[in-house]
Amino acid sequence: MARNFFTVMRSSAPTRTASPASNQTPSGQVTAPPPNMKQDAAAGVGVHLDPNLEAVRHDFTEEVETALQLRNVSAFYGSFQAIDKMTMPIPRNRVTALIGPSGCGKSTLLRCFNRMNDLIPGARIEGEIEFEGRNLIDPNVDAVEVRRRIGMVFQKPNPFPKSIYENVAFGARINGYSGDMDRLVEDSLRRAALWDEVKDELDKSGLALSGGQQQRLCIARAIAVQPEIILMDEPASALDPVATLKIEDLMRELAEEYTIVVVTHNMQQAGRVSDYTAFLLAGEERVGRLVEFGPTQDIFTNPIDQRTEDYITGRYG
Amino acid sequence: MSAATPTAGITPYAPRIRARRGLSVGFMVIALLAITASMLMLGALIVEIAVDGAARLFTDGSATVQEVRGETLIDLPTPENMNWLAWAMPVAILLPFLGLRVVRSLIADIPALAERAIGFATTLPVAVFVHILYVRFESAYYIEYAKAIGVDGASGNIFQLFAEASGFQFVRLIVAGLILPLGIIAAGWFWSNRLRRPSLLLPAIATAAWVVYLFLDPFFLSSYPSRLPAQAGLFSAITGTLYMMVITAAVAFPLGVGAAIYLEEYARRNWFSRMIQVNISNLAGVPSIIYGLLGLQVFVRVLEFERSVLAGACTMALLVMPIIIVSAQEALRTVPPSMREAAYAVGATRWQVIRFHVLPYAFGGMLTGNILAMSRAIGETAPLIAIGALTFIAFLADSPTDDFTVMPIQVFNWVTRPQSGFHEIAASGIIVLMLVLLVMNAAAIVMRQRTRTDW
Amino acid sequence: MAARTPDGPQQDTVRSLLAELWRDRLQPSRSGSGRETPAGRLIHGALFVTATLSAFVTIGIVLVLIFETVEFFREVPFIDFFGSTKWSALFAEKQFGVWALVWGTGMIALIGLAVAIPLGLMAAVFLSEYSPPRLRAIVKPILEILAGVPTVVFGYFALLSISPVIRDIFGQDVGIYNALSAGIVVGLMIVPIIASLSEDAMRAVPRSLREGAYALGSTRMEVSLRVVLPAAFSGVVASIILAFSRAVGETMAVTIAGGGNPQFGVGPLEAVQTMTAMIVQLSLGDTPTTSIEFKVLFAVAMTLFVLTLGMNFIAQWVSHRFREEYE
Repeated sequence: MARNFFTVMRSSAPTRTASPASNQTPSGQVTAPPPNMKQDAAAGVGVHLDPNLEAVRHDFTEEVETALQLRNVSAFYGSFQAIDKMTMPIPRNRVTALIGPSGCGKSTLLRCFNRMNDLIPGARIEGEIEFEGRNLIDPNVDAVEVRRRIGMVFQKPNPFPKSIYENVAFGARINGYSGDMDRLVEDSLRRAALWDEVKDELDKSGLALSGGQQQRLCIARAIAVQPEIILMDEPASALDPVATLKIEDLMRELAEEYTIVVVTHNMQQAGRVSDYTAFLLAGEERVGRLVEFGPTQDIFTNPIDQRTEDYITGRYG
Repeated sequence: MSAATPTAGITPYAPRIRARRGLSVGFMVIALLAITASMLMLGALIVEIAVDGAARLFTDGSATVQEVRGETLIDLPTPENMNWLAWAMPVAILLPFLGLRVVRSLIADIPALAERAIGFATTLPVAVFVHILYVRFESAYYIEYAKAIGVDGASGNIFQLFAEASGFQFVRLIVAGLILPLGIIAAGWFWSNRLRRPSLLLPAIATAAWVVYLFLDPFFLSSYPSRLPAQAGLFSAITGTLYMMVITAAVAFPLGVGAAIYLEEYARRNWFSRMIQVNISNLAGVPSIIYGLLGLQVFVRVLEFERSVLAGACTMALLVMPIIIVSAQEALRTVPPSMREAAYAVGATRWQVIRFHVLPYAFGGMLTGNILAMSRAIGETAPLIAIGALTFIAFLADSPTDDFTVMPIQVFNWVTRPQSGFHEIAASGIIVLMLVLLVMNAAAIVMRQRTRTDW
Repeated sequence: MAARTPDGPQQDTVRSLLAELWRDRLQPSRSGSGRETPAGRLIHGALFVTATLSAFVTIGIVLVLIFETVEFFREVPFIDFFGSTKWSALFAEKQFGVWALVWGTGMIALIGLAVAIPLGLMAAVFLSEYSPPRLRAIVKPILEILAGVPTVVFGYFALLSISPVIRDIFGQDVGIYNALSAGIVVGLMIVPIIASLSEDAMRAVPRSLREGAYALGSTRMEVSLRVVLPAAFSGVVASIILAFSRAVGETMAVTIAGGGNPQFGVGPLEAVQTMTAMIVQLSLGDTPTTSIEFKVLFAVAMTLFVLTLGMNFIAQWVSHRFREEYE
């Protein structure tokens, strides 16, 4: 299987060497923003980067596998273009945050990753999202399979009106899980840090739980089908601060095994939970574009683009 | 954490996506097939009715003279000039539209007034032409008719023929002679107002009505019931239905709309209004025959209306009232609260708010509900049988206290007879009934679309 | 403004007059929402009367039915009506076992449901989950028009179109009047009810539930049948009960096509008679209002009324009680 890696070296030639994914060598050293962004950005990301890319990229030396590689991804709803030519990697086993003001196409982009946009009449995607050597957007790739392997947690908790047990088992059932179902349910609930709260009332309706519990149930439900990537669309925006903290802790824990992409409105949240951050911004025609991508720490402490800095310092609202 | 991490090793999942996708698509195909099959079945049944019933509704071009109850009735042959007229008509109606279209494509940005003027200028001559053609054709027809029945029509004076023509033929003469030109003018008006859909609909309807009219055999529609299928007609049933509908609407519409206004605008949300609301939805579910028994006891026996149009109409009004109330309530709910508040804010009383702001807004919706309720009433048979409406009515009702019959009762009567001749005229009756319903439903749909205002 | 209306004696007069007027108007009103003029009160009263009319209709129905039913049970013991399966109201030796009519009613209604549930639910699932909006915009009005077709027309279908086909299939010894043909058209008649109400219930299921299921890798059918349908279950059940109630109360088609054979225990290929058909049969004849035949008509109608009312209540209760509350 062709895996893509991006290894970004300081002022080195673009490389495409396969490096062991397991060892995460934190380097932390960030170079100063180069004077000519375009050239250096292109050099930094190496072969994957489109030369026309306008977004700024931070150099970083951490060696990570890419879980998803976006190339010139555009999305349309009918004649309205929601996002325009985004190119960026999603690192494996990391939390990547998509931030930006309302209407900049964060959610649209997230929904491209597991083809949820297929369900909206008139929506279409252009470009390429590479996942395990295949283009996700290719109509020949089965959306159902994509969604099984790339799970999703939504803004508002949406448990099915079934028992807690059935909620977790649903995905596994339809996907023909042949193992021990009880064990899978327990395991998934444990990972979602919900087991201790619900283990005695698995027959209770999922709708009877509190909002935070419902959201963790939805995470457990997503885990149960054993996806490789979990997409989270503002998972804590409908929750109170305590429940939000729990979800954030959970995200950090889950990142050890899963690749997580999270859309968030909340800058502090992005800073707390994510390893990498992409800042998106809509232009005047309301078309979302990628402005800056890099390690979260760098984006927050040392943004290259003026607009990113404005947003992070709260000048966009 | 449990020891076995699910991601390790071979996952025990067997998604079988291909099979499940196939199943899903198969399910859709089956559902689509089931729906199509049932629609096709209904279509086939409608075609069967149309084939069975058309024989009595349309002339086959041969002249027949029948003796019915001492009267000589003549089925005239189709005049020769009729055929080309029938086919020339759609062309004549569509010509002005095409002309306007050409003008539009040549001159961009025509001023609205000029466009309207062009619309009229192109449609008006056609309408006049149609009317003249029609009168010529009809007078030729009536000269033949007059000769056949022995009236001195040699002068060919159409006014004299009007005087000689029987009631139905008179109506036919007037209505068809006016409706068509007026329809064309109306179509032109709509077209020049850029209301494309009605502008295509109207000429289509006018053309269809024209063709139907040319081939229509007035005998079935203008005769009374008879013991012989060949002489039986729907005249008393049609007039009875019309008569009853007018009274039903006059009774049910004010009562139903009044109740809806009370429930939506006046009633407080307490046990009483809840009870009324539940009661209305339950009344909508009561079998219609039970309304018939209510009408039998209350209107026929206690109020002594006898088996009259009035008793039937009152029964029908009670039957359709829940429909009118519910649809009127829905119409009232679409009135934006901001409109009421704005009216209250300038000091209007509650009734003023309702009368001048709420009702005008909701009236279209209420009227739509009323038409749908009436189309339900037209098709209802059981309650009228229960109150004892008769089937053999060889006269027209003069007053609301006369006996009467309606179309569905006549159809029921003919269907239940063993002779196949009666089954044929039952099909003819069904065609007439369904056409009336179709027109009413179309009117309701058009009205619903035209009165829908977005705020 | 002040410049244009300088204060003067005239202005003062107007002002005091206005003040008088307003003081009168600003009295606290009892209704709490504006003062009502006498005319307004009259209108209020008239509208109130129209609203209560529906209650009087119900009371009227109940009274009319009870009155004659009580008369009937004075002459015929209760047990002969509800405890017997033999019906022969028009013969010299009269028997009034209502079960013979309930049998016919139930059989036709059940055949109707057997036709309508698969068709109606499939149509509902298709329209709500599969259909592109354009197709839906065409099919839904067709369903509405189908619901508006007069029942005599369906009677014609049953007797002259469906019955001959049934005789072709099951042999010519099957009568032209049979429960099966009546049941099939009753089924066609109630398809729009099930399809339309179930579709409404399914579309009321929040979009987020569907998305949640799709995000787990469900196919469209799995979403429809395993998530949406169960979530809309109460509405679907209510629609089926309502449709059953309509089938039980259906009159003309079963009168035309069912035949007039009130017998308990006959099969679907034989003629039967429903409660409604019996009422029509007794109404068509010139039945003297004092005769027992006239009174039994109301006893049968009472049974029918209680049955349909009960089902309507159950349907309402089901749709309220078991509705899932979503945020």
